[in-house]
Amino acid sequence: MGYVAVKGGTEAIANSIALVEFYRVKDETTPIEIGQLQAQFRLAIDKIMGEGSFYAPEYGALALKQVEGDVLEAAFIMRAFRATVSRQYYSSIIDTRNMFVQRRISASFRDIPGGQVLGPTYDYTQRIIDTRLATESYEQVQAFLTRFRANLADTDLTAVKTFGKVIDLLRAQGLLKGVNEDPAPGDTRVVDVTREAIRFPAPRSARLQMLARAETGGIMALGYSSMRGHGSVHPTVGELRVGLVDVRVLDPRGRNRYIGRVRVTEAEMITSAKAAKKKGRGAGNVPYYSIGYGLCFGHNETKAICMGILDRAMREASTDSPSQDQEFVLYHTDGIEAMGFTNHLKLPHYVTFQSGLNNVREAIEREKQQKAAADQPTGIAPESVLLDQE
Amino acid sequence: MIRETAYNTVFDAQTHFRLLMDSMARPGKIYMLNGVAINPPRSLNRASALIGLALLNADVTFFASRSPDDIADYLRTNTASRPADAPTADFLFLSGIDDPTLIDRAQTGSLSYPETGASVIIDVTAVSDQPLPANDLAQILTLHLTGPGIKTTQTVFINGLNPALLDSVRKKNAEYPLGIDLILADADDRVICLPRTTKIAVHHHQSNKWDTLL
Amino acid sequence: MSPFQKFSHQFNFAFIDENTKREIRRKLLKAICIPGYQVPYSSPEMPIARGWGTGGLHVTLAIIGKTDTVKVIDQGSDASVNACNLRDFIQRVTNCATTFDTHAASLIQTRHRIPEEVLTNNQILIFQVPQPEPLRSVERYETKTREMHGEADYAKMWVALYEAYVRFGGIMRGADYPVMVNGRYIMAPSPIPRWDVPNLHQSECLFLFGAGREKRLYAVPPHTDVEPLEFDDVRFSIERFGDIRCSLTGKAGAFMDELYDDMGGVRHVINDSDFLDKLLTDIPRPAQWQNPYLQEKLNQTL
Repeated sequence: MGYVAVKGGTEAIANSIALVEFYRVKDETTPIEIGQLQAQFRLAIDKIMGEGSFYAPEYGALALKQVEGDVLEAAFIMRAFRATVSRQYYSSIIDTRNMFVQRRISASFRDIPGGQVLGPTYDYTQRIIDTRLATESYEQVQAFLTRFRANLADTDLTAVKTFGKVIDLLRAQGLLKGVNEDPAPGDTRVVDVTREAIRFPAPRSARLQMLARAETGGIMALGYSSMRGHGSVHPTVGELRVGLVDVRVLDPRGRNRYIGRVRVTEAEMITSAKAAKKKGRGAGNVPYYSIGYGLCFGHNETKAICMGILDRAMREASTDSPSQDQEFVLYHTDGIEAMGFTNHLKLPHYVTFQSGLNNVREAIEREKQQKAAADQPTGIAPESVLLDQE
Repeated sequence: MIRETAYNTVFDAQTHFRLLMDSMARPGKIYMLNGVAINPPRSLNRASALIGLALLNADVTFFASRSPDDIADYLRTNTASRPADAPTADFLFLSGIDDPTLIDRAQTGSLSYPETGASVIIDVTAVSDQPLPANDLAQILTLHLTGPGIKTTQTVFINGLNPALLDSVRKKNAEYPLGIDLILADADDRVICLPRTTKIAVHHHQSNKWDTLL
Repeated sequence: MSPFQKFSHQFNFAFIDENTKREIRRKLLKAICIPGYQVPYSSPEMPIARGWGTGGLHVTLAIIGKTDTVKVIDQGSDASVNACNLRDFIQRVTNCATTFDTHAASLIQTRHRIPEEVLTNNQILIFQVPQPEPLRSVERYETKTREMHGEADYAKMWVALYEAYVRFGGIMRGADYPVMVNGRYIMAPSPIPRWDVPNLHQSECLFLFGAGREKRLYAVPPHTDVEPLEFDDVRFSIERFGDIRCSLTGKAGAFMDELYDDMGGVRHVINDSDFLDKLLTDIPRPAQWQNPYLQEKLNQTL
């Protein structure tokens, strides 16, 4: 094998790329259609859109297919593509009270106005592997859909309605303190972390934006740590909603135009408000409630819930627990950055290593010389060894 | 009418940026900023307009001291940048005969974020590395420059710059790393850059006096 | 810029959008005005993974023009796989000329080496930087390190160097040796070996540094003081290779790679692949940097 100065790098890469493609298609199975992935891998694509910070289901499906199902790699492709697309508008603020709800639950009250809507969730499916899916046929799918539709009695269908928020109940009863009523609420500017590097302490808008883009497993670990005791936040789900929200933008003539709908998951976690240090300011002697908020693209309840936990945790800045340490949470939960840097260890580091080797070898030399000097029978104390010796 | 059609936002901006970057890295080194036909307002030197076209966009603001409306329209139309007042603007477009209080008001950044100090572009009559012809109407300054980017010393000659403006610059840059960064652009498309790290010794031709700044 | 089309493959010249290029260019100018200070920037995602050179790419692609000739090296080699990948990407999105010849390049993007051949005032060296914050090893929080730089409060760093000396008899910093720039900012020169650090001092060329993942840009202009941190009685030194000579050329006076063969035997080869290639031909030895550490070495061995 030749030394790396032999010009083989380009060829090696070309072969590597060909191999990747080979592994993807070598079994000669029918190429998967993007439509199939969009329809049957809904949750993977939702995760990809959330971590890719780019709502485009078809592109998510394409990316998922391109990388043989690695959700984080697919999110990376979405991020890279997103960076090349020019920004035309900022949307108007979305009020999730107007959501077309598909699922809506609260753990804080047994019955809530509008009712608990269980919706489509894996929570109560028993996680027993379903071997029937090994031979699923198009006819079986049709048969199921026919039965399902037959069960929907037309008379049961009511007009589409929206649901009020559980937290509005708390607010109306004076139980809830808003974030801007925290003592030292901090920077309330709306910033965009994709347009400027984050500065610490970060405004809440930046924290929420970074959590919305974060890798689900990363923030799950930190949210979990807070609940288990490495932190102070053990909340109740005030309300969790999954559904479609309308997106509107202002056109150049100032009219608010509907451009489509996105699916989002929203979690409002009820926690206790920050206590004021001094009496008479902020919460004072009453442990009011406060909200930890989570919102992400697609159907991803783990992410929204953990966002809510970490939103609240970071409002109580402390270096005692990782979940309360803004820099720790925000610097280490971006999946694309974390994946890139951990994997960069695979790059050659032999020059860096050689430089360190030199130091270690010199230290060994010094130790030898010190020892040799110490062994001399002259009784003179060994001098400290100077460094510039060949 | 004021939207430039000949200017190429990709390649002209890149070419001019490279000249500016080398000029900023080698303070006092003179570059010509030209090569494309543009029609800025008459109150703005062509090279200054090219600096604006190369560097500005919707994310930064500017302040212009002369015919502010004309220059604001021009820069807004061609770069989407927005006008702001002198204390908050990222870029200031001034004239060599302006009152130094405009520089006094410019922002110098913070110790944690000194890069937020303003960039100040001053239109002068002439910039040269050779002595300029003297006449009674000329206000010629000889600047001896030292500091990062300069091998030993660099001498430049400026016509049309009120030395009081340089006094203001000295005060703004007295507490490095806080400060402002200067670009001088003359009527014949020549530019030199004076970052806040450059030490400037000024010789006033008319009074034959030397002032060492910074 | 072409309007967005679904499933089309049109990208802007040099891939990055013009707004981001402008932001990077403005920040580079400020970085040059405050040598050694880390300027935060937006650092958008690239098709290359974070930690694999996105910062270097941001700088190269923001400044590159149609007449540039680009060289890309990784650990001193043009042919290493990641250098090939980056060079290929740059070439595809700009259609620029590329070269392995250090002297022929106008822009050189590098991971962790300064080329052995001295660079001129027509060349720009762009460093890929993994950790731009030289104080990170003594202070983990960005809020604090930013304050420390703002107030030139570098006591923690000096104490750490001193403690290493007390413990091990030497400063014990290898690659990424901390330097003081323009007498004001401590800077991370990126994990270049100590061999290369003195070349930053009073150079003819411009040095630009891009840390994509950490979102920082910084610069060292030409003719700027860059001094490795040292004590009056415990000085900086470059790596020693003693009597070691390159097994391919028989030459010394360049940074060496240590190679082991299948029998466990060791040999050394000059690390800089273009410098090595040139020494293997009949042309005269390319001019190296004029720093006193290297000059002392060359006087000993040539």
